[in-house]
Amino acid sequence: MKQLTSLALALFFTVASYAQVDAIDKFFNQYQENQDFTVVFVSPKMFQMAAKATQDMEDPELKELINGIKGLKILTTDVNAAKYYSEAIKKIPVGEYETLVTVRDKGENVRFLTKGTGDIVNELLLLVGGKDEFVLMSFVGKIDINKISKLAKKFNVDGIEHLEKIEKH
Amino acid sequence: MNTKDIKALLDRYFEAETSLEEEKTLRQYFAGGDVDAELKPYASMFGYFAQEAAITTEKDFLKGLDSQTHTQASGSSKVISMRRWVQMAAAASAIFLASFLVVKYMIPQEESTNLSQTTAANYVEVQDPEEAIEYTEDAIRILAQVFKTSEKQLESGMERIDNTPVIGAQ
Repeated sequence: MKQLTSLALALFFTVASYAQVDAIDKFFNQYQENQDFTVVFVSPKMFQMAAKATQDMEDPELKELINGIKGLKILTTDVNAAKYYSEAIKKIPVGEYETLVTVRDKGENVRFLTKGTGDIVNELLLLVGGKDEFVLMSFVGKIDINKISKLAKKFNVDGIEHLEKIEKH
Repeated sequence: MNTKDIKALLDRYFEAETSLEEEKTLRQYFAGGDVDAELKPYASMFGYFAQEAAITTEKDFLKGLDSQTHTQASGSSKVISMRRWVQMAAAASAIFLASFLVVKYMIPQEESTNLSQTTAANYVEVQDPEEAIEYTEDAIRILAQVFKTSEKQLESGMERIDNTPVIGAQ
């Protein structure tokens, strides 16, 4: 009976984790047809292939971070940003994540949500919602939070510049 | 014992009201030779009972049976009850099926996406490893950037909180 109970529990959590992945996937699927959005999707297979190409990268932290990532999804828009942000907060099972950072300042919202234990997390969600920009990024893999904060100190990039590449498409 | 007494005992015997003692009397009576003609049919019945009761097992019957089972059990093959495993397997498959159905039907699926629309202008599924790295690098840069900005906002926020005059404080 004990084994049976643990079996049932294990299967229950399997279903639950399906449902979680589903929630994020669903969110992306919902908007990828929407012309307001720019969607970028990098598959785990791509990351596998990319592992070789990171060999000659200069920044060791960046390299390690990229090598740890197994999947990346980006969803961004500059139309109705605030509305989409609140929609995202509603549809994403926020309660299942640990909130790393929440900032709300003059209509600008930022949320870092993580799933996992310690400094290395399995999933990292970045939600940015402001007057003129909504960004949702989902990183899956092994992501070291310390490395990101180290990189944050190193980089000296300006506000929107970094989005150029993504918005070109 | 006279025939009348035996008749009375028989009546009680068939009503299952006789004591063991009385039943013994009955048996003895019918086993004896001089049974009343009227009661002859009953004699054969009691005779049958006696005959059957005489049958016994061989002295070592149970012993032999025992040793037989033991040799079987201690032999190369072990007898394992499958019942528990079958039960477990049945339960597991039932739960698996249930969870599959829950995933498939209970969690509402999006309507199947139209492929021609999916590949619309703004949808980028990265197909080149180099490009994948570029995107990822950009994404991490954004991440780091937002991290940094939120840290700053946090600092300025804390400053504001620190500078807020507290009533009653000197």
